Amino acid sequence: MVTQNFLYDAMLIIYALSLLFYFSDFVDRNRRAKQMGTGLLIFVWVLQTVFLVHRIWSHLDMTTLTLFENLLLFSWLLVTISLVISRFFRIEFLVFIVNVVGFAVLALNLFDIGSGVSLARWEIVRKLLYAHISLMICAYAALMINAIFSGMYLFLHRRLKGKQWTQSVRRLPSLEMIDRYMCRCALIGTPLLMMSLAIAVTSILTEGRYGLLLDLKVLASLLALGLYIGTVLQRHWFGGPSWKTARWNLFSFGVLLLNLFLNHASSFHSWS
Amino acid sequence: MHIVVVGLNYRTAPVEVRERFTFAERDLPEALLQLKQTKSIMECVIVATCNRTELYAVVDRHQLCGHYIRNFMEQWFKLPRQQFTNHLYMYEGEQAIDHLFRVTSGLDSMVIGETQILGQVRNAFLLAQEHKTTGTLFNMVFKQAVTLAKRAHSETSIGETAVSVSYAAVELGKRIFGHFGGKTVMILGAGKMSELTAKHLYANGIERVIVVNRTYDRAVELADKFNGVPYSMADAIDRLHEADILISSTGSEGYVLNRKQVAAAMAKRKSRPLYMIDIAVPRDLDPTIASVENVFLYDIDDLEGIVESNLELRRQEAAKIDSLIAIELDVFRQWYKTLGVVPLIQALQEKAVTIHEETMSSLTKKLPNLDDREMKVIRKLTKSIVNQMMQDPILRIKEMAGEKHSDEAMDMFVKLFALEDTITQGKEKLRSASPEPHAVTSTQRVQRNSPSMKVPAVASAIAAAVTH
Repeated sequence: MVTQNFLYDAMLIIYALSLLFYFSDFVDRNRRAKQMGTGLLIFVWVLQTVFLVHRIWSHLDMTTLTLFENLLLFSWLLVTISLVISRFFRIEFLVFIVNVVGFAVLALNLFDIGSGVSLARWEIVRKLLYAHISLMICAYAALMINAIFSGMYLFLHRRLKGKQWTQSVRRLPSLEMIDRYMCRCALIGTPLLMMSLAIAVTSILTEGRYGLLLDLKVLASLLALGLYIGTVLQRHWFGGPSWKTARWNLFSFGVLLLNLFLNHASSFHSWS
Repeated sequence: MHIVVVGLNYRTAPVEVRERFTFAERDLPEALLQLKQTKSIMECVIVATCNRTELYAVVDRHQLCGHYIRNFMEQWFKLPRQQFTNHLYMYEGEQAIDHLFRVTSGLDSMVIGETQILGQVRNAFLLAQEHKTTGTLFNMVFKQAVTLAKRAHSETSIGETAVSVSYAAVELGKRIFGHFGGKTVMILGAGKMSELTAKHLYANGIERVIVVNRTYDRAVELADKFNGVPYSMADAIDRLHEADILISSTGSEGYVLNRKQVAAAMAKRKSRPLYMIDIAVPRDLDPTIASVENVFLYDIDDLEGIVESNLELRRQEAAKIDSLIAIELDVFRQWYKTLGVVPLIQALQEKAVTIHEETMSSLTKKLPNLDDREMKVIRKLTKSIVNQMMQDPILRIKEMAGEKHSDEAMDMFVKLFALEDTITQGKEKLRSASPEPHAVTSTQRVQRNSPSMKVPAVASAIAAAVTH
């Protein structure tokens, strides 16, 4: 057994199998492998949903909120979004790439990071905290997909500019389509990030702990938000070329990822 | 029974030969019937397209079958065989089936992977079936070929990529824009190539067409074809920012557009890309335009490179289809092996029924006092004994028919159950039910005054079982 939980083991193994089938299609177009991968992914989604519901049900009072639940929810969200995109928009490669990240996130839980943060001492702002975390997870998911689209855009743009006609160029969605979804994800993710941070700041101000506003975590989060807002405005107001937008998106996401690892450097935003 | 195909195609015969050996659509039914009447021919299908004429036939003996088919062609086309035999090819047995599978899948086409041939083979088969010139073998083989071809096209990408310059331009445009709805194309120079490319784009949903030509009248003429707008060259430069796609083929000695003009247009387009296709030789568009942001510039060499790359991909996909063909050939082989066992099982069942009836008749004479109910019960029980006794041998012979020494197994089956007489009687019944086929010896129409052979494949299988 990989973990102590049979259901979690099953989820990981089936997820890995699903990715193997997607990889087979990624390397050399294989419709049956893709169908197999999708079937297994749907099964993974069902297992994740069952696991999440069971987890929430058994911790109804939610006095303890662990990184485990956060990562699981994030992974579930990525799988859900990828399945929806696959069903309605049929964007090649996106499901595979998104789920590589989703699987990595799920696998992170194997390292049993943090036993949890007790929310007991934060009774007053607990509801704000739930909203902050939920919005932040959704923002991360949307901006993660934005980053993937940005990477795809830069890749395809370079290939087309360089007149390199390859299998991946044939199979990737069009430049315009990638651009459209890249912008949409940014338009969804940036406000979510903004709202999440607004709630966090409100929570801090409610508690009267004004010094926390200068915490490294808070500053980095605001920097990431600033970058995203700048990128969105640059694109929509000044009409800059899409490849520059894509590059800024990737840079902003890099800052956001870095921000994730700043938890241990934060005086209050840490998983103990 | 043997399957043969005799024909000529674009590889073996130039068009001036092929055009003399093609069947007009209205003549095909008559040609099929006449071919079926030809000596030795039991089933036939004619596939006639602009690139090939092929006569598929099931013959009862493979010696001289090619001769009879050539005879038929000589008489139908009224040309001496010396004029065409050098261009003919002939395949027999599994090679003929392999050829059919390859043709139907588009692997033998001028443009590898084209899908039109699938419909043509299918229509040829349906026509032959309608005129009752097909039987058990061709009903199986042609259906298999069509199913295989459909699978090949859906499971591989062989037919998906562009193999002409104009269509490659469209395919490239789709990589940039996805679809052409709401897009504007500007045609610089109303030449044939740019018109053809514009035609493909228009068929793919281009909303607006702008035509620019040195001669305004020609611009108007071309614009009318696409419900477009004609402009002069000076206007074109001012309106360049309106175009999402630009196709240039003016025949000008120097560059028609330079980097500065395009950069100025792109400043007005903001983040929207511009796709430029330069199919002129010498080039119309300054190559440094490619360095302008959001501009994708392709010339004729680039498009031909894409075509070559796509052809290479099709060749790779053809290898996948080859493996599908090998699997289907195996399926056919297995099916063909079991074909011979059907008359043996029928003969065994017939013999069993005869014995049962004789036994019941004898019982009636020996026990005349049995009432109807008792007779019914005895009949039912004795029949059950017979069926149960037959069940295992029938199952076993079906299994053995698909195995390595199937002919020996079937021969042993006939001997074990003493079916020689039953089989011979069955053969004679079939022979008396249908006339002897005869060679076509004159150019006169052959009148069909007897019903066609219903199950030629079974008759041949019986013949094979008896003579082995």
